[in-house]
Amino acid sequence: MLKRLLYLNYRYLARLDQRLRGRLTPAGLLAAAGFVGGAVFGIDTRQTTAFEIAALFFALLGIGVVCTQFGRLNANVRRRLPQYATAGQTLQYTLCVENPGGKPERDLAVLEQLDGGLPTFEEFTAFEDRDDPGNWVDRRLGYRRWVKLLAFKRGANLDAIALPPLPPAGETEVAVQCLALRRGYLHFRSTLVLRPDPFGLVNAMTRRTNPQALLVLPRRYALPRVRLGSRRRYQPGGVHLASSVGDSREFLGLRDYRPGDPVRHIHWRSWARTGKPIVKEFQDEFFDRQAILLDTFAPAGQIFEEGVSLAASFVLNDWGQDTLIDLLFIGARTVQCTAGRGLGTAARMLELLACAQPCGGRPFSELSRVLLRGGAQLSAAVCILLAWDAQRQALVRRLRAAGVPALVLVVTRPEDAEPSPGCMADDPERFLALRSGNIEAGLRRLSVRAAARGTHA
Amino acid sequence: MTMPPLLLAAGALFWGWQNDLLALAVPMAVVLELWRGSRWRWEMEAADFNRVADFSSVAFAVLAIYQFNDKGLHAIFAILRWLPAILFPLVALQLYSRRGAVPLSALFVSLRRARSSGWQPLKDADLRAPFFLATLIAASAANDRSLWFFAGACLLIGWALWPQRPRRHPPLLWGALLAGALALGFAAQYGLQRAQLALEAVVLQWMQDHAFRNPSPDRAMTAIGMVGRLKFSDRVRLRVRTAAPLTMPLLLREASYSTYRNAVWTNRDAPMIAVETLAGPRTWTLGPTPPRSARLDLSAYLTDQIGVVPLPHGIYRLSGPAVLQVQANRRGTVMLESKPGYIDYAVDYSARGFADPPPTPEDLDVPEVYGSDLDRLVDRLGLRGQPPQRIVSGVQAFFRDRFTYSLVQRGRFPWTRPLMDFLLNRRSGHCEYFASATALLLRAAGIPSRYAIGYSVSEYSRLEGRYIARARDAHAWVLAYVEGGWQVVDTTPAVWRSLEDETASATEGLFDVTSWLGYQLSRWREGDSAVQSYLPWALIPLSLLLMWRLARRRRVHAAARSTTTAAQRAGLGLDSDFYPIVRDLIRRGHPLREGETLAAWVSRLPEGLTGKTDVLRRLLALHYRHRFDPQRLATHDRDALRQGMRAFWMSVRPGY
Repeated sequence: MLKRLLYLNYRYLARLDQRLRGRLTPAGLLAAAGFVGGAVFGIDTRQTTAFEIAALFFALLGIGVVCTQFGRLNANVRRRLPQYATAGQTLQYTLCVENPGGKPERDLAVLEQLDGGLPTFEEFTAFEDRDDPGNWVDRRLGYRRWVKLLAFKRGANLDAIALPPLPPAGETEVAVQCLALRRGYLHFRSTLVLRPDPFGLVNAMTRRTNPQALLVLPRRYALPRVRLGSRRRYQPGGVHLASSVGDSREFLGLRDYRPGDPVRHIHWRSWARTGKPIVKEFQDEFFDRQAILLDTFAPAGQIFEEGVSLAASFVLNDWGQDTLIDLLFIGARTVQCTAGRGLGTAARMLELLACAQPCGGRPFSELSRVLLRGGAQLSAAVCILLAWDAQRQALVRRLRAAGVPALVLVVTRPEDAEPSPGCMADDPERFLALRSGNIEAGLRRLSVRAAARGTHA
Repeated sequence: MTMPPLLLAAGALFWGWQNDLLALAVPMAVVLELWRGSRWRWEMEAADFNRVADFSSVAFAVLAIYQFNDKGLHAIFAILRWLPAILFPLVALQLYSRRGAVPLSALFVSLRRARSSGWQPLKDADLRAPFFLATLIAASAANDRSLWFFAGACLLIGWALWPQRPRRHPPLLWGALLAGALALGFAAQYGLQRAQLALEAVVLQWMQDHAFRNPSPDRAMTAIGMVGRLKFSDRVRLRVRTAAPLTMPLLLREASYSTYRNAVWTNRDAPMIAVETLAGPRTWTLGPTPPRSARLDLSAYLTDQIGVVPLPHGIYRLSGPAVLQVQANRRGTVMLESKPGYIDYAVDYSARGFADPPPTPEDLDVPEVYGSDLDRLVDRLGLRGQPPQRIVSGVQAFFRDRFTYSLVQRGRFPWTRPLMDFLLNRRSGHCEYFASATALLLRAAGIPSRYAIGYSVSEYSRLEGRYIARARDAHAWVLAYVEGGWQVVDTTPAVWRSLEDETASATEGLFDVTSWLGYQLSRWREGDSAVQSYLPWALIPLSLLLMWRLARRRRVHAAARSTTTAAQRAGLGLDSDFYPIVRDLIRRGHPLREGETLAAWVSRLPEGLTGKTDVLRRLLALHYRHRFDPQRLATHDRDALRQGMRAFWMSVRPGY
């Protein structure tokens, strides 16, 4: 009951903030604070004269609001976004502001508006800030959690940016910088063009709707060069699944068509010559194929994000020119993506990881099933796990039983005990428990172990 | 936000000037501005800011505890007064640090434990502008009612706004708009004061009309010190029937009090004690029976089961059929216990005798803040050492000759000693001023006196055939103990009554009638009204009307029920001749499946059995029309359906 009441209050405040955002300048905010403070302490006009302060600020803000109703505010805005941004890093892009009018414009500012939607009550109650839970009051009231969740959904916090004077029919470009707070899409909704009143307290506003989306890739960690094994494995189905060029398309000869042969393998000239369908036959292919397995069977939160970032870091690992990389995780649907040898790119994988979400109630066995179905083709696998329980150990055990060497990385909470290697006890150097919030330090241990085994560059 | 030079120092000085803290404000101002000319800057870590913020927090807590312990709720304003001094160390640290701003973790303890996970860097805060705002609001705690505060605030706010102005506007326009805003602000603050007065008047009125209709025997708040016009309602509070017409206003006292502090009269050590002396059934004796007496029949209103009632001076007997108990205290206040609502009671009194007990030391108590001034006034009036009766006459003459009656108090709120302001300067006020000042002046001259409140009854209502007292007839006067008896001393100029009457509402007559009807209704419910004798006769036509209405309604219902049933059946087509055949065929082993339509059922009937399926289909079409066509079947079609079904039944019946 209390939580719902708090949620309704916060939502109302957020809506009010959305409506007023940009309406008041910093000085205007201070004047509004003065008005509220004066009104609170001057509520009994006999006790203090604070009500006179409140009346003064009220008059100033009121005249400011009236002044903003005069004078047309004319400006066009275009946005130039980069192709990608990275979570946790500064995003920089350009806004082009044009003055189409015949009069010069001064003292303008622009404020970008991102569309993230307000959190639902379920999101508010489910959102846990393990990294910074705050004190007892914070935890009970949940306001800091709300602010964080709001910013998280929005993706970035953008402040107003002052523009240089704009001559008639002139144009200017301003660089906008902000911190990308999370991976996924940033939805730019509109741009507010602001012009302050003569007191500099209240802004006249005009909205330019220019919706655009920008994909923010997951943050990545610095990794040593990891090589898990170079054993090439037979790839049934032929090379065409991997590439149309390269040594994998070794031509063996011609043979009669058998039902099920791909049409692209039909040798048309021979068919024309012999009068019956003839197909080309290729040499069976053996590749080095590495899988990156991401465990998404955990609630959204910092640990999940760190798992995604680890997967993104391994995607960009230098696996070698001829290596195929498989990325596998279960999101809203099963995602299996192969890159390398011209088949796909790491960028595509990062895009998929940017949008990865917890699987939401699907059974863990589904991941095992998908992984082990292609287990015979894998040379090695990097398993990024968010827990080290029996079913995850069973998966690793079966993977190894299929002859696939596995590097197991388990992300644990800082307060949890160090997990024992379990089924990886016979190969402890390929088992790494990483503390949430301290992943990079943990990855440095990987470097040391790799050096000891001579498997790094 | 750009802070202009010297603004912080000016704010601090303004705060110090208003609150008489210049000795503290001047060094603060120097520190707040010296940083501009100095190159001293310290390398401060976040922990240093935290420590200073903690120091300020502890100072705030200590101040708050001390002030709340000392002043109660008024501590809020005392704390507000010291707010800039509490914030000052943190602001000074910001100014003299290389960082130039205060980390947010210094202000919010919970942020100090936040681990950096690359989420969002915490911003620093610039406390200069909030500090300036704090100095402005803290300056208001001095409650300087002169124009200096407003002028100073205008100057400082204008100063702060100057650097914020956009450069596209000429300074002249900025100045003109600022002047307009300041004028609007002045009007708004004046309006706020007036609005508070108006609101208080409305609330006071409401409380007088509802919550405090019966005054407390221990405490009487006055409107002394309040500014504005007092407004009382026209509501009839009291009804008085006398044996003979009144030749002068009759004062009916509700309560009297002995101690005056801060515009409030109170009674100490005057508990209400039940009167046990009974002179007969529902009759209580309050004093010895005098040789000559008069009698009054009164009707008042009790909001609770027990309440103070107005009584004439010199009362010695009280009776009332609904009175359950009588209580009195030694200040002469009487409370009656009865059912809430109107209460009728009769009193016998003598104008010569007073039932009030003799004075106590409290009846000579003069507040310390008024003591010396009142003594000087007594000397100036030549009352010192005079016989009591002459003192009373002298005091009455003093007020009669030099004072005027007014319901309006003007000026900016007199913060202290409003009664001395009335006695020495304004010399104009309402009855509470006169009665309170008279009581204190008499005490200063050595005459024990009490402050009495009640009603002055003089208005005769021809509608009700008795005297009435309205809320605006509420009055205050003094009881002075002279020559062994309590004497009424009413120094309020007699013009007060006509001035109060001028405030009467135009709808007073209408409300009088409503009030009288309400009173009569209440009396009737109590079984004490002439209306009651006419009631049986009024019941006869009412009973007849009721019986007729009930009988008529029953007939209507019965008719409606029968017609509705027939209409419903016809309207739904449930009287179709098809149904009996269907029921019969079902009974004979051709069941209708669940959800099966009649058309499907007919087509399922064995051809050999009936041999007449086509006929049945045609009749079914007629049945459907009868059942669902809004236009209904024409008479000949209905006949065709009826005859067709009969023929069908006759044709297939031999088969069974």
